[in-house]
Amino acid sequence: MPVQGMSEQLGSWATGSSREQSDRDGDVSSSHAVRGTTFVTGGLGPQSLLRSAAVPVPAWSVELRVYSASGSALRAEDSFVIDDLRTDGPRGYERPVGLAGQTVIYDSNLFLIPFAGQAETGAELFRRLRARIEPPIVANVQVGFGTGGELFRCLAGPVRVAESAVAAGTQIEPTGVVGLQPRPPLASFVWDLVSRQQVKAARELLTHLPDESEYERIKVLLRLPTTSTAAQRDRDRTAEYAWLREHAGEYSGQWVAVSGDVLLAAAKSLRELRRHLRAASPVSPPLVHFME
Amino acid sequence: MSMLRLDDQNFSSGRAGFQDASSPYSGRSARVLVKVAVEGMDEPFLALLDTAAEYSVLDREIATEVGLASSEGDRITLSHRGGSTPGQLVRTTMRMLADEGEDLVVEATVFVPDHNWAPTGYRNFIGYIGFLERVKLGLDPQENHVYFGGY
Repeated sequence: MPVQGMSEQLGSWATGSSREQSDRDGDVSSSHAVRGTTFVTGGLGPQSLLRSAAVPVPAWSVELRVYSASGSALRAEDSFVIDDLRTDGPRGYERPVGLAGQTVIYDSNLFLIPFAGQAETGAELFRRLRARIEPPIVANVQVGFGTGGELFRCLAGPVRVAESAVAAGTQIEPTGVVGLQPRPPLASFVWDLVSRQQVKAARELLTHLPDESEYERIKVLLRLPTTSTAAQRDRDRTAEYAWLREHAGEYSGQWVAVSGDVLLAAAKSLRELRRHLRAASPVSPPLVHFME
Repeated sequence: MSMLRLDDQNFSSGRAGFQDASSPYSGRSARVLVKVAVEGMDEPFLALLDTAAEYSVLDREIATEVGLASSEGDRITLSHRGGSTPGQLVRTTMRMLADEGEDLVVEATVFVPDHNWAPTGYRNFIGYIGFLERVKLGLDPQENHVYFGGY
């Protein structure tokens, strides 16, 4: 279920399909409409967080990205995402391990930690944020959306904190825009997960990406492997294995090509080895191996 | 026999002998090295069967020989116990080679490091994601046989 009702509370902030305000510290407030439902984002930016929390966090870096509207539920591409929310100050909010990048969906005073089954981690970060900020982070979201809904279920009930903060102005004074991009480089989030060897989460995130050419490559790479049998087989290589054991110390740092118990060639590089093999034209392909 | 059966269903389609130590001089404990091949290269080679490895790793020189090593494309830095290694993921066709039964063809995703890289002394790994996650495996350590099959 999408986020609703924030437009009523925040008045003029939430109108139309896409607009933004920002305060002089770089906090950005935005709203946009997705299938008739207005999502209000922003309202309490990182700089405000710093002010509110009085926490010295030296390395906040913010980039605001706008996602296109699609789908009936709020999906990643429907959201405003602040990327690279660095939190490595001495009392900063520790970067959670296992999130989709350092990405935090920043939605109306509420940090939504996205997706891909990292609900527990996201909930923990949210608890930390909420505990450190005065006034507390405000939210009246009853239910999350998409896989992000897991976040709220982990919080044991709806997130309702400090109604007064809405009225008081967590509506911060607008100033400059940090950065606004028309396209979400969502693929970069996926790559980040891949680099951290969280492929399951990356695959989950991929399900949120549209069928566009820019995502085609990573979708192929993260596709489950497929298998089939070939109507052929190799031959027994017991003799080659024995040769490798018996002669390992003699060819350290070289590639060798062995057929049966016979060394066909040895070379410093695989390319050179295969050049020798092409010249020798063995009846069947030898086993090649790099000797430690 | 090449076919293992489980609940009257074929579990494996091929069997191969594996090498359980590449070097008696290295002082390392035995590992399971299986013979594989990659599309574009006739010669089989050995890869460490490592179910704990997140990705499969294809030796840089082999990848270069078959045209999989490129300076273009999205790069990742793979973090591991020994530090981090830059490279790229590629999709390719590999085969687990059988002595009996049939070779298993796997359309797999493998990591190609930017430079020659041999963690624990081995350059080729068969890891879980992108490869083994769709391969059924059985090991007979008494006979040094590995049984494999796909889904």
